Amino acid sequence: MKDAIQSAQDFLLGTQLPTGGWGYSSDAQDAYPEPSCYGLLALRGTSFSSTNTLSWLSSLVASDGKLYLHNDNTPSWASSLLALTLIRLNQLPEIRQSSIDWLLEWKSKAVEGSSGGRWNASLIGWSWISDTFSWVQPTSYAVLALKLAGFKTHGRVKEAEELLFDRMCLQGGWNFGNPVVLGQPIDPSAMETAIALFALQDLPSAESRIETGLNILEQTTTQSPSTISLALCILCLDIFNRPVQGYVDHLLARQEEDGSWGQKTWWTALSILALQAVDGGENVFKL
Amino acid sequence: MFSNFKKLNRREFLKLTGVGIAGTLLGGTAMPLIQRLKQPQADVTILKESSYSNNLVNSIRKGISNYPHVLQKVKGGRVVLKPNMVDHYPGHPINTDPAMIAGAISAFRQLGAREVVVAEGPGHNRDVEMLLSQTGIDGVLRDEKVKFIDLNLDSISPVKITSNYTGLSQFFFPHTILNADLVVSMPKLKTHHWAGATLSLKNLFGTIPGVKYGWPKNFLHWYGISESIADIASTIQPGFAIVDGIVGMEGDGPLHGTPIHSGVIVMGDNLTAVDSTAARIMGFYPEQIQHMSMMIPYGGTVNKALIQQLGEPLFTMPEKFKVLPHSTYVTKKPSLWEQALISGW
Repeated sequence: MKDAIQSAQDFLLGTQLPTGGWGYSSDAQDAYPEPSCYGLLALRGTSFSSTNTLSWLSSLVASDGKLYLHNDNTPSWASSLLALTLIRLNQLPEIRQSSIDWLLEWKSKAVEGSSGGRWNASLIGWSWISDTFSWVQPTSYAVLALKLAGFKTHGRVKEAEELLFDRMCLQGGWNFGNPVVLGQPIDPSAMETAIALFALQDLPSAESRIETGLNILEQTTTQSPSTISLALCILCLDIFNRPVQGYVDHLLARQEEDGSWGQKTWWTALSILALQAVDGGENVFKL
Repeated sequence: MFSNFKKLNRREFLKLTGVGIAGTLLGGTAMPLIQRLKQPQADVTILKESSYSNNLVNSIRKGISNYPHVLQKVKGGRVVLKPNMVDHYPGHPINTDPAMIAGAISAFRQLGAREVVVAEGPGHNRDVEMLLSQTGIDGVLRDEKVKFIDLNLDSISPVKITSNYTGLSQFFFPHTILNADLVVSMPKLKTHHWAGATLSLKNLFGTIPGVKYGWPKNFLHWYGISESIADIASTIQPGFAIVDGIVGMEGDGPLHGTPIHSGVIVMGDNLTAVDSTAARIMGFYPEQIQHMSMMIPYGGTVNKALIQQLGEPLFTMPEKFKVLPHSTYVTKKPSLWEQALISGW
């Protein structure tokens, strides 16, 4: 396991871009916040210096805490990941705080009524892009970041928890955030189920829905394993103390000779985080 | 909904006809009415193919060869094939068939392409590794040794929107699309429960990058599906379309509809004309499909009289594609006035 982690970390070190960040794949030309945050987290505890990456990430953040991609003038959804990363690394306190402040301020659009009576579109969470609807992944990451920042009981967080449960798929688990369209159920997916469960991990009162979600996560990952689903499944099951060895074996079997998973930096970083979590290290998504 | 021209509100009427307020309502340019309603002649190739097991390479190659200026772009160029790869529900023909993609790869290579890549930005599913496996497209990529590019995670740049029906002024597009010598939209022939039909124009939603706009690309719905389709298509102007209609989808498209054996491939270099033809094959009136009409001022051809059918003659399926109750407008014959205004001359 340690060899697998080491070679994967070597791959990440070799694919860092001159700006200091990472793109999504080894041949990427441009860095993005998401893979850069995962990369930073995956290289904690090594001799890697995070200075350049942190400098690049901080250059994306305006004084009001909004994060902007290059050439863009609308805030990016990656603020929550940045906040989470800076909390875990205990870095850039001012940017960490302004990102949190922005997350608390940033609201998705609500729509009156519901989709065929199935779900409540008036609940407010977080959207991918400003002035649009709320979705599972950005809401979940925002909830997780805010909980890590000490806002577990904040009204925004409580409403978002209600939203996430409201958007559960009919059979349990989560997809991107649309459980039913024109009366047709949309299936859950491993990725969103795991991320939603990250956000809801501290709610014992909702145990049966979380239990169902975990079962769905195991089923979907087993039926359609991929690097992302395996890594997130491992991270999630680890939080809930469920067995992970089978998924770990599958994940390790997919590692390539260059240490990567699919030459994708974000897959590789998430895989490192999963392996570290089960190898006695910290689970970065655990509250 | 623009399903009944008589209900068209004043704003939309002005957008389409160019009368009155120029500039802002008309995508930023004050085109004269005559230019807005004039549609170019277009050639659309219809090929009958009964099965994905057939030798599709020859059919596709034959079809592409009808377009000399497309062949010029292909020779020595980088061709980007943009299929539908959205989700996977067994028994529901959601995605472009791997055999079509394989056929297109070989055809373009035989025609002299320097490089052929397959690129897609799935709308709501971030796990492309899983999607590629579930759809079988990964096997084609391996066998043909072709790169797959996730357009959602590509390098991106802002581009001024040509038509600007949405009012957004710019979209960010992936460099893979912007730098291609030829972008080929390769959709599945399907109904769509909001847009009427999803063909080569709607397929272009997959070029909008999730790294900026998210998963799903919900903002496109907030600013209008038809408006967004037209803005994307008018701006990136793919050079070719190949519609996989061997097995299409009817009913509750684009995900939950049912298979219908339509036995056809529709191709051409005027995507609106290709889609209009495909819609007619489905038993629909393209004049009733808003985003197709919106393409008219930007080189799109809807008027049947201006579309020369190459290959097989135009036909309509003996059983029209089934649609949901709220989508029956696509099967409603437009009035002569509607046809004249929308189809132009």
